[in-house]
Amino acid sequence: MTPVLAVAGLRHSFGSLVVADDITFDLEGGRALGIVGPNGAGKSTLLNLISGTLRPSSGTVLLDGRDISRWPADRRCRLGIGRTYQVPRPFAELTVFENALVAASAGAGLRGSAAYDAAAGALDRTGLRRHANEGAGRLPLLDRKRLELARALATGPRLLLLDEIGGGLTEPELRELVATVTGLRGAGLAVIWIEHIVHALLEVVDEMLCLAAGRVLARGDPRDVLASPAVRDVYLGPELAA
Amino acid sequence: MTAVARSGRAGRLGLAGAVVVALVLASAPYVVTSDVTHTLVDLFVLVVLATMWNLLAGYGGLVSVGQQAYLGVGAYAVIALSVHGGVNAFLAVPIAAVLTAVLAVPLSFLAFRLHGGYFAIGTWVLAEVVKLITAQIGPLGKGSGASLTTVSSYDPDIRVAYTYWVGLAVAVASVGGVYWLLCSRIGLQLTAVRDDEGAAAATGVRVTRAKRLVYLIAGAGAGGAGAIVCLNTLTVQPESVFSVQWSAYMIFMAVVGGLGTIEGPLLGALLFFALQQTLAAQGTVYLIILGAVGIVVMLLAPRGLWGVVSGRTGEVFPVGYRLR
Repeated sequence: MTPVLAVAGLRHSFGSLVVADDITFDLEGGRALGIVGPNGAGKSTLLNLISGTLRPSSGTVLLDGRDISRWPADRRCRLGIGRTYQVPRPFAELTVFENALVAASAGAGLRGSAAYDAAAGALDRTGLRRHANEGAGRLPLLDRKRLELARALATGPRLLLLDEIGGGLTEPELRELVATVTGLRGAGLAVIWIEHIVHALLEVVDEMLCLAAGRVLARGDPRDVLASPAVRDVYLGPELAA
Repeated sequence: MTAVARSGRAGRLGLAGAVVVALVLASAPYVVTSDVTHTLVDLFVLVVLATMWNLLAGYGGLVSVGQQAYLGVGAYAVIALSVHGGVNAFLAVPIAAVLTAVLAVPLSFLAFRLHGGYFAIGTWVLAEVVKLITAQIGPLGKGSGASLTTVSSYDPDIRVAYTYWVGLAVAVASVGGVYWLLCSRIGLQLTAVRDDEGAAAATGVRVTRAKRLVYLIAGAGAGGAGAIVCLNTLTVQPESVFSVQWSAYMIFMAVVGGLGTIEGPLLGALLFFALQQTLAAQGTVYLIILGAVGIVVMLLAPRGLWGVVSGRTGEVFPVGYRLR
């Protein structure tokens, strides 16, 4: 079976600063990959390379077996990559519903009532329906994060990229988010989730990848990765870990 | 099935009002003197320019100071089509607008290589190049310009009335066309581009294609406005139709009226027209007052005059989607 996402030898640098160095992994549909790593490890850069905001200096990104390494972000989205931003970026002058509608019409290519249904459905799944006609720019932070997810879902993705979407949520909200993501994975989506809240990740992800200084430090079973000495080193410092 | 409403009460009233205004204006040549209609054509030109520049900058994020390139080409196209091509001068107006849009295609590929401030300066440079090339063409009068001699056979009152109706038609088509565009699928995507270009791309919006479409439409609009200017003044000169002053007018009207709204530039055009009519004879004082108005509006009403008004009235031209 072709994996939904296959990343091979991905490399990117800003001048002499290497922010992604030989990153390789696969992800199948219905599976979720958690990404952890200290600040500046290159987690968001990796998402940008996959979503097309950045083009890799070398290496390939395959979606369903197609090489999309040189494709711009909008084309990758239409093929099936939905993403959220760590710092929410709503279309501030549009309403919440219109934000989702942009995604359903441009990203999923839907028209008329099919687009309305998809947009409204994304709001239902993220608990934003009651704010549908409010201006997105006036939403409080947590609802902005929900809107990021709603917009990504309304594009009808095969691969969902979540960038620290759980930060700042209360425990009940976090449980709700975990249930939502678990449901999406169950529906066959491939999910990549960057998150500092490790216990939330552990409930959802099948696999864990730890990045440090742009390199893959460890990858595999989530608990094994977290327990590995190398990962404990970068998180806690060598002395404490010992 | 999801129920979505596109327009509220204010919108339906607004649309009905716009139709009434257009009908009243259309009957003006039967009521007022040709001096008045001749002057009102200037207002129509301003409405077209403000509306189109707003589409370009307010929705496409393309701050151009080179739209006079298309205005000038539209004006010259009427001379070329009518004086040299034998086309009826009034029929030449829509053809001039289309030709201008065609010219905008290759120029967009040059201009779109630049972004932000560089794009602005780049469009100005392109406009200067277009002017210099036009001023080399012998049949178009080179640097001294040319006259629209083909309309001299019309009775002056009839000629002014025809010019007035064509001008009104171009203005209505511009405002109506922009409204229709913004109500469409593309319009919603353009609004998303206006708010956050990167996020729009990540949501699947073909950002460059949307911007190019806007650039071509704005080019056609400026071309149509230029064609009207030619009909109304009966003469074209490179230094006048290709003047960067046109861009200054466009920016003033769109920004003072309210960028990124349909209603704002209409208000801006009315205000600018009123200032022009009452103060233009005053020379320097006129320019000082224009500058002062611009500064005061930007300080006190950063969203423009329409931003102040719309809070009470609601939108006259609603483009949104309300989930029921």
